Amino acid sequence: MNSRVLRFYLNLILLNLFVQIIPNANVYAVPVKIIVHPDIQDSLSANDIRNIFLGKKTQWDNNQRIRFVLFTEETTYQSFITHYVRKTLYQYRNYWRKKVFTGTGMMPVMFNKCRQCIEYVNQTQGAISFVPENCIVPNDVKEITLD
Amino acid sequence: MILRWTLSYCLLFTFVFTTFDANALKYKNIHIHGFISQGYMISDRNNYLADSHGGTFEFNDAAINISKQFYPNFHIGCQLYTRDIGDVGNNKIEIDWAFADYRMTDLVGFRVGKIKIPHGLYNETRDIDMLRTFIFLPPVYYDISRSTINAMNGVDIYGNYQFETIGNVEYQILNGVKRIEIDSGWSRYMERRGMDITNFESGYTGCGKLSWSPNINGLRLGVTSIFFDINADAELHKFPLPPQYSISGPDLKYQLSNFNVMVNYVEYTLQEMIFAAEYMTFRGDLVIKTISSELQPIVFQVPIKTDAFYLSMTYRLTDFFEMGGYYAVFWPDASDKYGELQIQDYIGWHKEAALCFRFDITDSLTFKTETHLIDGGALMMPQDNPDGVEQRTALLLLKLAYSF
Repeated sequence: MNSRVLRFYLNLILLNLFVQIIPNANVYAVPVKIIVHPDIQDSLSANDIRNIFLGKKTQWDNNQRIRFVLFTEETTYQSFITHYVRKTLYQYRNYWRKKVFTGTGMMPVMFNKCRQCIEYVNQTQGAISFVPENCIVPNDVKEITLD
Repeated sequence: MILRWTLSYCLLFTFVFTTFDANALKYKNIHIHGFISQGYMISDRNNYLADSHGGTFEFNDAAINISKQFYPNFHIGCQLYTRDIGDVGNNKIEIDWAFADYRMTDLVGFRVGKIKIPHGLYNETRDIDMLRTFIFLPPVYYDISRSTINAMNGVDIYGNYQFETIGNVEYQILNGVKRIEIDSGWSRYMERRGMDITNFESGYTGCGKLSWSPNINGLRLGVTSIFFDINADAELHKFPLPPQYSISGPDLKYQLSNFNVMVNYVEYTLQEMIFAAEYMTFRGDLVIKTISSELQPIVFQVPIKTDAFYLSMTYRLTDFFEMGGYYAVFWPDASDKYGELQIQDYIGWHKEAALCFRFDITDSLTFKTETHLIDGGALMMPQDNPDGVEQRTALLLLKLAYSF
């Protein structure tokens, strides 16, 4: 039985290695802009962005609460989560589902239209979101670049 | 007839839940989520957790939770849960968790109420089928332990800190009390040792978790620990007493003190592939004291030294399909890993290889099929196998789950 088990795991590893080298067509970068409420003065690092969208960083430097919003148009959403949060979309959704089903968090606010995201960020103190680069952002919403 | 009923049930289930694909019910800041699952298990030799030898549908669970966000850093929620697996659960509705959560800062937050216990990587999500690849988690989370380590009432202090150089560190400290029902899996495990538990009293319970995500993308390491004492009244039916003691209508005081369950874990995510390994140690002193009025009390002291570990790998090939496998070992007595002190040596271990295929039919509906090859009888309950426990078992599991 042990040799059968060993052979099974060897095959599983080989199969996975084979699948890993097939390029994943879904993972490509769509340029995104990170937008925040105009009152936000903080500079942000890549770790800050990751921690904000994982619900681990919940306050700005002035102790104001962070309210992050997800823009759920598939391509932009996937690109942002893969490159900034460093999870796949499936893993990210599961991360929040885990919080929901253990009571340790609630589902983030989500919009699937660029305009809704921008409006929310503009009107909500402490808000942060992301939109595709080709989305026109009005002057009263702040775009930020990472340190 | 049963087959026709089963097919109709599956078709209806699939039809309803593929057509109605809601993500959640929401009203203002109130969110309602839930899940329901129905499984089937069949084994070739031993009965495992249920009457699995002939195939059984006595394998289901469901939950519904409601949460309300009052402020961005304060919410309250509650989840009701029911399950049936063999003789355990029987679809009795229980409060799975119910607490208020106040996040003061990133570094410190508080929860008060009934809270899920951190134990290894997956204890808090052990009931939630759609959050993992496998149907049965490895024996670090063995089913009979659920009632003991699922949740507790108390106060939780938690938080995290991002260090520039070493990465993110999360902690959780839980203090309170734990209630164990007499029809729990733990009672079934003690029944195997010859005692029928008639009452549980558990005192102080403390838990801790330290999790470190270093600046290596995808890597997570950590440790969890649970401390508690259990006192119980039990009736004896076959615990080996010295010959001069024949207790009629016997009663026992059963005490498990200095109980500590510790799990060390590592998880590494490489794109769609996740590797995980955990090692659990379970230590305690079991003291059994007779309280028969006619005889001098006798006291037995049995040290508990249980170990378990597993290695697992999962891979998501497409949005629709995921597969995974694990190899796990459980020793009820780690000082007797070869079962030399047992009547049959294979009662001294439980070694298990599992292979699972998961199909995400929609975002909300999943179907899984899983095969287990089990060597050893350490987790086979004699009460499920009255004709004796055999060494090897193959187990096939199927499960359909819907969540919203």
